[in-house]
Amino acid sequence: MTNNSVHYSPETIRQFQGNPLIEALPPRLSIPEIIRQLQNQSRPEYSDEDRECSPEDRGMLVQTLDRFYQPCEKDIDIYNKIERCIRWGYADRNPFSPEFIQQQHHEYEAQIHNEGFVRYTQAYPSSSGFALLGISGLGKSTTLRHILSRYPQVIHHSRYKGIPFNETQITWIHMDCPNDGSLKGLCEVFFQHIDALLGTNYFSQYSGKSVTLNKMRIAMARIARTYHLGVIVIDEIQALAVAKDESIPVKTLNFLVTLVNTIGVPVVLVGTPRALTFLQKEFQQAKRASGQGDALWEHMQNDDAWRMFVKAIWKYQYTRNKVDLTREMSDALFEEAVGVPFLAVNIYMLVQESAIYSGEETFSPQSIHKIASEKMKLTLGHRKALLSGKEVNLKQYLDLTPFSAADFRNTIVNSLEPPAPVHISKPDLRETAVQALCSFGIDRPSATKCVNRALAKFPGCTHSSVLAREAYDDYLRNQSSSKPSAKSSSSSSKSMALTNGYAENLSGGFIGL
Amino acid sequence: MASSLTCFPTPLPGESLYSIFCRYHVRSCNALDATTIKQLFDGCRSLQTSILSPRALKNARNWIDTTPGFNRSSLMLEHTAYPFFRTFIPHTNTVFTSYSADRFFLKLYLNCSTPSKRLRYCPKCAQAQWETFGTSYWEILPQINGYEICPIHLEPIRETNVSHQDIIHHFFPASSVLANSSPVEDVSHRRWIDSHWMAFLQMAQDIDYIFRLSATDFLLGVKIRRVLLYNLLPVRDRWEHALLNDPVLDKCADEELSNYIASLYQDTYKLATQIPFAPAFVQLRVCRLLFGDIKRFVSRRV
Repeated sequence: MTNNSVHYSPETIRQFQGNPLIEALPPRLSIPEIIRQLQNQSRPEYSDEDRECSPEDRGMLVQTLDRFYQPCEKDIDIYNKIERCIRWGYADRNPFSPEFIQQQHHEYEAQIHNEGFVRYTQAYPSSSGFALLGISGLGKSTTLRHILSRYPQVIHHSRYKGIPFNETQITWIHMDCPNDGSLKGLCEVFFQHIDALLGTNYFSQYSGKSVTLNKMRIAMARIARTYHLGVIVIDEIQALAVAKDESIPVKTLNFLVTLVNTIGVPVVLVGTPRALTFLQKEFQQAKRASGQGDALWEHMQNDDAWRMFVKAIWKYQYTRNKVDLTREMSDALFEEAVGVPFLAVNIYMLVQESAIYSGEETFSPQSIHKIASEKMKLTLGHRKALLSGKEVNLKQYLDLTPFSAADFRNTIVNSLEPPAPVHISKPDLRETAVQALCSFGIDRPSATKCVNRALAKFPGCTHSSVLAREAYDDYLRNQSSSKPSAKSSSSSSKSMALTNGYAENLSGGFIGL
Repeated sequence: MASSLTCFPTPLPGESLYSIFCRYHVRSCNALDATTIKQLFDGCRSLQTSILSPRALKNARNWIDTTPGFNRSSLMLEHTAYPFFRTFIPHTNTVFTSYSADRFFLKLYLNCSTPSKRLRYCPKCAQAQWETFGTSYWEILPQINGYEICPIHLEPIRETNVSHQDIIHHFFPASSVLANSSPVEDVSHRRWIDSHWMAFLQMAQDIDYIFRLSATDFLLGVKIRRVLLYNLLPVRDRWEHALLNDPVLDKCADEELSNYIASLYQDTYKLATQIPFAPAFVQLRVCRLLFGDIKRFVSRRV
């Protein structure tokens, strides 16, 4: 979306006044206004008359639900975070400030002399980003897309308060982390996005074997400054976890931190809990990822919020006979969708399709269970894993690994004072890790042994999740080295089958959970 | 390629066109100079410009009319030396009101001025620009021969090691050049300036005055105020006398000037208008010597 005539709204906050990049943004909204706006842009059309259409047409109309989006409390939190990120990010990047333009020259110098631009570092204390982590299907990306679409993505300035002001402002970029998690790939994706927005040719200029990584990094930083980039949203950040080289996530995240520190562009990282494996390791990342307070989403509970959500989607019903929403229906949907809105919408669509094409034109809670087990086999393992949390291979379903917000915050707190005394007492830590292992179906004595061995191996470990993972690894190693019993053999073969299926589906792009 | 340049910089006061292009290159984030040149000049391989000429605007068709905030006319009048040199011509207005008079300007450039061979700047102006605008830039006036002292800072103009030949194919942003090189100090030149400090200061003030006056006149549609040859011909003998006895001009008696002096003896107006022009700074100096104050002279001779 591009804005041609720029309207500058006067700012009430002193630090934002006189900054055209901030004043060109849409005015801030109150909570009811946000909800209204998000709802307006995300509710597909529906009419009861559609029920009279032919089965073929109704089968097609059911897909309307794909576009459904229900704003909730968490979304308002994200909206506020994005607002703060963008506005405070711009606060220190006033294009009229001589320092801002001087930095542009320093970066140019760095590029022509092929130096790192870090030596020109200028502190931007108020800019920061946040991490939005949660299992797939919770609507993280959808929420961000809806919130970001509120801002004109490109703003062309020409005059500000009578002064010539020829600047192009890109308020946000939402891009996916490359599959290999490489920094080079990330830079290339960035250039492609800029080219698509502005009609430039940075990708062709800065890609290819002859271009060094350092050059690409500086170019990316320079472009971000020149076009006054408001915020970079990097989705699917968990891709860094599958990088072949263990140093890749660190390098990539370090660069993103540098981008925040030197250019002042806030970075929002979006991904599944798998991203915690590397985000928690480094203080810098953890600090940046929670600059605006971390956003760790978990699947919904079967409570009022869930029922409100189901009520909202229930309206989009295309069976000839109207099916009322009952508590049983809502519970059945929750059971099958395990509190994941994306799955709930999918199941609801499939149930309706089945009812329409079979001619039954109605459905029941049993239909929901039946359809979910028959037509959503690929996600069956994941759903079971989420529902029970038992007998699940932790590594196999790392994207679903439940995480503790406290753990994440502890990473930050502890890292602030690296050599400081450990805040968590060892017995508590041990007990938490043991309990975590027990929840995966490991008997308590074995779990205790594994945790003790892990503690002996990493005496400085302060995070229960890290300790639990190490202990679980240890458990798996011991299991595979010892002669398997009949029970464990069957369990492991089942587990192996699931693992293989998961890998195939993942590589084939079939798993959308 | 975008029809308008998304990050073309806002021109700064007194900045030369070449300097604006340099700043665009910095902002464009292009990897190579050639890429920026291509964007600016519709596929050309060189900048098509000298530091003072508006010639480059002729080829800048692709973006100039669609980029908001300025137009050809404002760029030509405020960011090239065209307003200054147009006052030193003995022809009618119409021929020279367009930037496209390439051949004329080339001739004017070569004959009205004996340009220095390298880019020049006032160190104090550069410092002030860096602090005020966040960038230093190449100003127009210091590139004009005869402008040897900054009338604002009373500082001798310095020369860099970037030659006029270099800038045809490459961008040398002032901030980068000045940060990475020390000024070239020509000791004998400096002595010469010091020994005629007041004369050079007056000349710099006159160049500044003529430049601004002509640009304003052009915008207001006022007929060109010709300073030189044409108006001075009636007082030819006095001029010759002044010319030969002035220690400042004596130093500059190069071949071009000798030719001009010789031509003064060709006693026909027609021939006089066809011969090469005297360097602008020579003419300004003569005006000063003969009339004391350039402002009075100009206003009297409109």
